[in-house]
Amino acid sequence: MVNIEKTDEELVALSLQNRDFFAYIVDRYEEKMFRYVRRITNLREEDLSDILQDIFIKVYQNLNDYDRNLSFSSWIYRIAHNQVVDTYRKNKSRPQGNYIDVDDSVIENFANDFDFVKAIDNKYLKENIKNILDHLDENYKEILILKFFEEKDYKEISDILKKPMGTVATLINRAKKQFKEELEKSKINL
Amino acid sequence: MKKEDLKNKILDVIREKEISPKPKWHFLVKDYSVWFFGIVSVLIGGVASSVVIFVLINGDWMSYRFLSDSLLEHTIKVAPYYWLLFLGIFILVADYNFKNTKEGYRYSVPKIVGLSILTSIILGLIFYSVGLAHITDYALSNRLPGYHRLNDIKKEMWNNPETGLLAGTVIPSERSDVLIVEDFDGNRWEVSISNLMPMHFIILDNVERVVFSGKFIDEGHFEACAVKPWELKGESPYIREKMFEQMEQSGMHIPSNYGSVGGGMMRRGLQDENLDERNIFWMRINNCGSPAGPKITN
Repeated sequence: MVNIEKTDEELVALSLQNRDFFAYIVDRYEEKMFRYVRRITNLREEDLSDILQDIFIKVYQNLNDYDRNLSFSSWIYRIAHNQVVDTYRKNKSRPQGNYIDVDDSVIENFANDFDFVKAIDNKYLKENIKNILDHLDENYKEILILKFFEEKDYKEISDILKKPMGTVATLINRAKKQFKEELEKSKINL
Repeated sequence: MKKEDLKNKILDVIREKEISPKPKWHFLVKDYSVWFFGIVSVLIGGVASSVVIFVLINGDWMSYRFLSDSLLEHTIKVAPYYWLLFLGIFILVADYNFKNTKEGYRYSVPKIVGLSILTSIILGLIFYSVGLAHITDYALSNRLPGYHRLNDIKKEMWNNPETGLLAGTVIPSERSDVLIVEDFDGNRWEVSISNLMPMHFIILDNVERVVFSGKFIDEGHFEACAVKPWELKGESPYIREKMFEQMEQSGMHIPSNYGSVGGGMMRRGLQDENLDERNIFWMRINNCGSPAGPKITN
């Protein structure tokens, strides 16, 4: 029952002493990382395992660099973000596709934050949000995914992307603007 | 892929490849290196800033009409381009290093750049006040080919007898009708001082390195209309002593009231007389006839 009882920080300390404890960290974050990486990369499920493996190995190698001023969650998301960027830098392009899972809570998050979304039929938005996100600039898409899909706050996004909170706020605003423009392009009557 | 499969695969890779966490010192070295280079950059930026301050303070802005045709031309002539470029580069390097510290990303670029500039200016003022700017300027002129130290630039600007400016050291002499002046190129001049006003003699009583404005008569003869002390603000006492030692060893005459000490004494003297040294130099003596050279306009 180590996994339930121990905090992330305790698991890091234990993993440094005995690598078997690292399994609990993988257990705890595997699904989250799977969803996050799939959302920002559009990779197929079968292609994700390599990148996830690289992420967790990097996490393990860098355990001594874990900064306790951050939440472990922000730290592991940062490593995942950097790994994705590195992977695409090597491959020179990102695949296009629709592997963004949209559940009701995501739509609710969007509606709570976007005034113009309230006027749109939820069913329509749910069907089209993936296409709209896929048309956004990569950095805008990722920041909206972190905010509305991963439900990260400004501080966490700042720690993950290593940008000042003011820049995060600006990026979110611009991303929303682009999102709205894409909605308009989709000929949705606001 | 099933959850268990991925977890087992990751653990297998770690075991098979004998991957282990990088040691803590590896990250500490990285962090300290970033801080070390950041601090070094700020310090070098401070030195660059101190030389910029040194050059700007000694830029002869009040006398630019004597030296150039316009303020713009004078600015172009004295602006410390290389140092400003150097300062800019080191502010950017400091900024880059600071952003790469663990928490550096939390601060916005304008904040970090602003802080770097402010730190450089504060350090620059401190370094300037202890004479480090002068030491740097002096040391580079000895070691860096093509580097012209401020003092040489000033000498070139002020020692131009044909245009009515003569700069050099007053040599003691028995003659009372003229002063013997050795200019910065080593040439001796007989300087007629009959047109000088009484307040100019306060300067000549206190300072031996001076600048005369006046008329070029012929080679070796100059008629003075005004005089001001030759002064380099922000000088290093260490270099001054070193130069005096060298002068002494070469059998040269050492000015008794040189630099800031003489300047300070002179300023105090002028304050007692309620006179400002620059006003004295700006004054025109009617006896001197037309303004003392082509560049003097008022």
